[in-house]
Amino acid sequence: MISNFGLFVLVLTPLWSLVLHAAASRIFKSFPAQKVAIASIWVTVISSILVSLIQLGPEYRSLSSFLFSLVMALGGGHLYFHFFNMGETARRIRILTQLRLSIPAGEDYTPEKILEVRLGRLVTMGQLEPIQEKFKTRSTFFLIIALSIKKYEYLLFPNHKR
Amino acid sequence: MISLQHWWFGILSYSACHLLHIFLWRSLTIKHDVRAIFLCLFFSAFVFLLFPAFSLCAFLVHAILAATYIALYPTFQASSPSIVIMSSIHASAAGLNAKEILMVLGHGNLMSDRFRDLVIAKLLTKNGEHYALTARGKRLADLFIFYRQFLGLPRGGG
Repeated sequence: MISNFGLFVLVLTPLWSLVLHAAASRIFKSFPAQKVAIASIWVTVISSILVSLIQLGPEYRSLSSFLFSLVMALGGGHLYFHFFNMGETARRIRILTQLRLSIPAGEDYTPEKILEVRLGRLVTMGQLEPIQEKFKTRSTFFLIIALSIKKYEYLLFPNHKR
Repeated sequence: MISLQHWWFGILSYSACHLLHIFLWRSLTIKHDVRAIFLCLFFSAFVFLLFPAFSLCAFLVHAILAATYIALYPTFQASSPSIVIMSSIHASAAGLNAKEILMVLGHGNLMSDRFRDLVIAKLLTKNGEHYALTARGKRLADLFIFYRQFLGLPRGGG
């Protein structure tokens, strides 16, 4: 069983993430934007699960209701993170917003600039370690995700060039 | 109170649609992939309404899994540079410098392929060497401009 209010809270997890993230990104301006987003999402996901379970009352709480809440809240948080990440890192969104703001799209964004921005972000997030002139990966969760994504990309697009 | 009976059926129905998606993407060349992926993963959920076990909660689970995957899909479709950087540095035992990473990324198509994607998605039109936003492209750009302002963040992307 799940209460109507609990389901309402779970379904709207992306919206709660947005509200908390908006407040957090104004308070923690000096922190890396992605770290603030991830922290806000985790707080929202855990809160949504707790609210939905507390609402239920002990007689209805079960492993099934916990797993359902977990899937819905994690899915919602993940969905919001990718929406945020599109605005933060997607080249297509950059092209669209630049054209909308009448900034020449793409001209200032050379491969060198793309690399500089991405390396800067990965070093700030602690994913890469600069050693003298070279960069090395650190054993992080993101590295596992990156390697898994690469493998899945080959599965989905076996003829991709890269 | 809403019954959670058979909510897990949403995971099964989504998995079936996901397998179909992998099979289709490997076998066919799909031009309008955004439309196709919505059709394949999201709207196909309505087929499962024929099954008595496909409850409201099962539908919601299917929908959230489909939405999450669709949001992640551009990472695979457009070979995210961050993923390429991480995997290529990891593959090299001694690490890579900026010049070597740039060679892996490739010079030519980092932006031009994305322009092409936007034209295919009807978010941009190409007139000679110039690109212009379509009405849909303008709405999407406005959404992200407003969103970044709402968060109090500078213009992002890229």
